[in-house]
Amino acid sequence: MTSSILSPRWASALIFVIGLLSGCVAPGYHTREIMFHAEGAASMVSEEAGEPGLMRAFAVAGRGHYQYERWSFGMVTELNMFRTREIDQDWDALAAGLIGADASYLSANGYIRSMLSAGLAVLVEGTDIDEPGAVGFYIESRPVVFRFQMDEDLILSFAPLSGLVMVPEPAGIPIVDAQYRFAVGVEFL
Amino acid sequence: MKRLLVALCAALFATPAQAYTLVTSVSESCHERLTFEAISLVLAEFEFDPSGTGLVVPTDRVTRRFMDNVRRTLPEDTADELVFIAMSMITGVRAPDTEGHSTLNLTALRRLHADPSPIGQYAHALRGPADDGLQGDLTAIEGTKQVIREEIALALAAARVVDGKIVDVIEPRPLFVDHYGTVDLKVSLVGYHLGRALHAMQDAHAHMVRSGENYEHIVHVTNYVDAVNGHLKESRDGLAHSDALDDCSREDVAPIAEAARARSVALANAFGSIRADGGEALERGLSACPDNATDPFQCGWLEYEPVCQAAIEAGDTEKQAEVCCTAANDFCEDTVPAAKIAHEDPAGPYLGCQTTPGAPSGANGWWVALIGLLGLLGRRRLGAAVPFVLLLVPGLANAQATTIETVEVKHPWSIALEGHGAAINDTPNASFLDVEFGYTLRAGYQIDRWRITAVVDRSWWVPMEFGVRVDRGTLNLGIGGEVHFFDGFIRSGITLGTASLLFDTAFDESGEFGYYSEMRPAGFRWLPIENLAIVFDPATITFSYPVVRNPPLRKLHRRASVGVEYLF
Repeated sequence: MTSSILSPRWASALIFVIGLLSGCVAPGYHTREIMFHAEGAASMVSEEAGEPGLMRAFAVAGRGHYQYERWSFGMVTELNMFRTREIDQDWDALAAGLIGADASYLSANGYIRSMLSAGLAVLVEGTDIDEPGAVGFYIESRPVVFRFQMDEDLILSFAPLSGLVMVPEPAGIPIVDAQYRFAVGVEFL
Repeated sequence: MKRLLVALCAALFATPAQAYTLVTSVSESCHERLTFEAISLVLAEFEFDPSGTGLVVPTDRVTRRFMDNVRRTLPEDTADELVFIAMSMITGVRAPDTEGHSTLNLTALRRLHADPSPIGQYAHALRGPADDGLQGDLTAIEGTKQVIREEIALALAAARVVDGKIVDVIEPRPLFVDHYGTVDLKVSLVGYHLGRALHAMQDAHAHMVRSGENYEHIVHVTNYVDAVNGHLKESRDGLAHSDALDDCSREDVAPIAEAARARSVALANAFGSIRADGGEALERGLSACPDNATDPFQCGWLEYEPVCQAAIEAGDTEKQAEVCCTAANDFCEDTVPAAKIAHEDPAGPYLGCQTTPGAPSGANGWWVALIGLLGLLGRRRLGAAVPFVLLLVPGLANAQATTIETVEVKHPWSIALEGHGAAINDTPNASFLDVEFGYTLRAGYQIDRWRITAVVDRSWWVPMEFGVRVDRGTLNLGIGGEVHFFDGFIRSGITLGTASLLFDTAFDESGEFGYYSEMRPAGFRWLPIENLAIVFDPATITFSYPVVRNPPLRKLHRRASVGVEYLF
């Protein structure tokens, strides 16, 4: 190998391939080749003065996956309704549609899924200075999703903490919304 | 009365730059620096008799603590009234830029600075979106004058005279304070609104291109709102707001900042004499200088270049092309030194994305940001590796995990050292970034799949409101429990304990004592050799609450941590 092949990008790719190969060793997961997910997610805020336990964001999503060994790849659509603070401290309600691709990896005999997702974020409902229809991007990481088999074709999933950063309006001073959230859902195998 | 008013006014500007550093971590701020320099001159000329006012300084702990920070940079015998008004001035002079929000609160910034309403731009001496061409210069100047008049009127309304004494209205106004977030601070409305007026005056030097020996003539007004939205057309909208002209620490901007300071003093004096002269000095300042004017700073604060103005008002386009600064002559870049500076560091969209009026915005730009994000990750070895490591770790761990539970039975005791960090904050009313880092020592004893732990957690905090520094943060001590499952590959845990503040903040001193909690929903463990585990917790929620009284100091962090665990 030349030194140029060992650039950070190539090194990351190499790590990725090694991980992929190392992962393809333990069958027996709660999976089928094709899976569909339906889920809800919510983001809570508890450190804001005077408003403990406030739900700041809520989302519903659908996913379709193709499973290969431990890995699965798929598409996701999500409607994310979130709130931001106005200058005068009132709440502003916004909504964004997320359309993206995700990749996930199963471990612990299929009881754990780790997932990354990225794609487009479309501003569906904005504030009075925003134009609905703006198109930006998002990225989400779910390090741990617990999966419990409820039935032969049904799995209950629970992601205790995931991180989502979306930029549904990338122009000017962008709308950037970060959400730490939990998610519950069902997977149909 | 005049002396009293002027002295009161003078106090409004007594805001030493170091005071901001003490209170809100401000280290470099042109507005505060200019204000401090201005008041130093005014204070040297007048004396202040606090007994002549009816001002009752609030005695609550938060106000007093904040005043103490300001007082450190004032003469020892400075009256409480002056310190209080100085503190109010700090809040006011910062307000137009933040309205009490963090400068890293993108939602608030978007509201404030991308506000298409012209009045929102005039508060910063900038063009409104419809202020096009040369006429737009004149409209923006008139709008800025109006903002100053309105703020002075509000200050006057707050400074009522009752039985020969000034009775100031005291109300809470928001101020963003590092670690605490937005705090409602009691302020003198006189000081607050004069601070806002002074902000516009100073911006009239940073955002308006001036010429002349004393920078007395405005030759061009810059544009922020069109520039940041990405559809600025210079010939129509003017020059983009210049970060270079905004930087008062630059050597070539210093003479302009000096002029801004001199006019700040003049505005302070004009307010001080407003009841005695009926506002004559203020109107003189806001009007063009007469031919026989002797002090260039007492008049014509916002005076457009007169020959060009006459050509605009006469509709003489030929003359305008000859004497005015337009896109055709690069806005006088070759003849006006400030215009040359104004061409540097133009404002633009944060992510390089443009809006198209009347069409869905960002449609052509999302991919630029996405590519930029990928490029950013690609340029940094760690950044590029993170998502892959995230996927890789479970794989490696699972391949090894089946032995962990067996080892834990053989070696029930454990001690772990973990490093942790957090960065992104999702609280809507705060800075987008809330950085912390530190380490955790965790000792445990295992019974079956359950483990009891004793935790020593050290967390440093990084305030980022104005520059970056590291604060000593907290020492957290706690007792917790863990449960291990999936053959010891996954652990979940909770810790409860105490948080001790280790540094002096704006409102509290080190030694404050409160609560700490930690929840780790799921972390990975990997056992490469028999009694050494590598632990990785991708998402841990910690709630550190070292100050429980008002205003509370509480931090909610979502950490990632990695460490080693020795089993024995």
